Amino acid sequence: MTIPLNDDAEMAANATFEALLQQHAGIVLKIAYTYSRTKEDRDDLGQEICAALWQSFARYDRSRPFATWMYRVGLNVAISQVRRARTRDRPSLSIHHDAIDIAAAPPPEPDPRLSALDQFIQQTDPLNRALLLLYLDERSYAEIADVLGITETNVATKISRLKQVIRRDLSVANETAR
Amino acid sequence: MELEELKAAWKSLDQRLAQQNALTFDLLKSQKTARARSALRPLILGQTVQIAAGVVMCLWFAPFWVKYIEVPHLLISGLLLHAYALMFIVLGARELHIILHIDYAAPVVAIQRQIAVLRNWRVRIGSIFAVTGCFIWIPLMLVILRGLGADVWAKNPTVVYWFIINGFAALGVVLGIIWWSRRGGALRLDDETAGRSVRRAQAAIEEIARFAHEPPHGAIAP
Repeated sequence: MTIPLNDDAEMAANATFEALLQQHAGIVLKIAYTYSRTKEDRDDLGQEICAALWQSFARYDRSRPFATWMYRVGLNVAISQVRRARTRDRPSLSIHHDAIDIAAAPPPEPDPRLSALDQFIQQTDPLNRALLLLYLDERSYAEIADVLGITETNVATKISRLKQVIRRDLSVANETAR
Repeated sequence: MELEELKAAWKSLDQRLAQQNALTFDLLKSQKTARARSALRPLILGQTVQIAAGVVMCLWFAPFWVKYIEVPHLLISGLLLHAYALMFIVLGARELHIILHIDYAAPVVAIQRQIAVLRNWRVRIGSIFAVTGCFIWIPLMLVILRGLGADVWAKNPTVVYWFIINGFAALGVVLGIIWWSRRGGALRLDDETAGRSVRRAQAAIEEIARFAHEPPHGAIAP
């Protein structure tokens, strides 16, 4: 149960939350990028994640790392949204990494590495996508295990398999490009 | 392209997202409270209304069957409706309990399993409501008409037989729509009641189980 806060305490909690959110904003943006295809979807998902973070913040155990807690909430929201979207049979749109840019920013040069990354992310199922995101973010096996709720041994096995799939897919892509 | 290049691509993406951060983050923060409210309200409200409707129905039907305990067809009608009302309350309370206890800060596999089980349960319950709904209006009609002073079964049982035939016809329509929906027909059913949703919910549970499956000892690939 959430303990009601007085105005001062609530303002302090708001300020703490916003400071932590700002400090770790990259996590929200990367999760939104990994689980959405268009800019609008990314904005929506980012908002959903921020809302869920704010809602869960009262129960956040401050003895644990904020980033781990944030990954858990963000990935749970994102995976749930992907599953809801699948149930609704939303039409899939092709992805373009340029779409994440805000209109005011100059369009960057197309990066073939990002296109390959996008393609690989989108063909991976939601749970393995979470694993991929944490792996690419260079999180430790212990932290990945803590976020996902599986053992470190299982994380090691899955990452090993994931690496094999990445190597295989990238080599196929390289062959095709030649 | 090698694995390391993929990691380099991720890092470059990280930098680009960081550059956009200042532009997008105010938008994310500004709507957080409104989104937090809107995301949960419909679910909680829906279940609360269902429970309240169940309680009202219980308060109406319990005295009815007690009053007509000597009249078998009215007693059965009252009991069926009372049981239906109890089903409303129990199923609504269970779903509300699960929704309120989903803690997104828990590990991903645990929460996704919980949500998948809830979704699976919801689509199955949806089918139960759809099937019972084809027939439950019959005792309801008998009770309402009795309240208006007409005991249809006593005066003209043929009417009740017609009701039952109509119930089976409605059941046929419901099953036909579910069958059509499973085959990917043009008619779009609400996914919560469609058979396809049951399969998807079940597939999600299996996908999570596969992901969480502990590998045999020493099975780590190089």
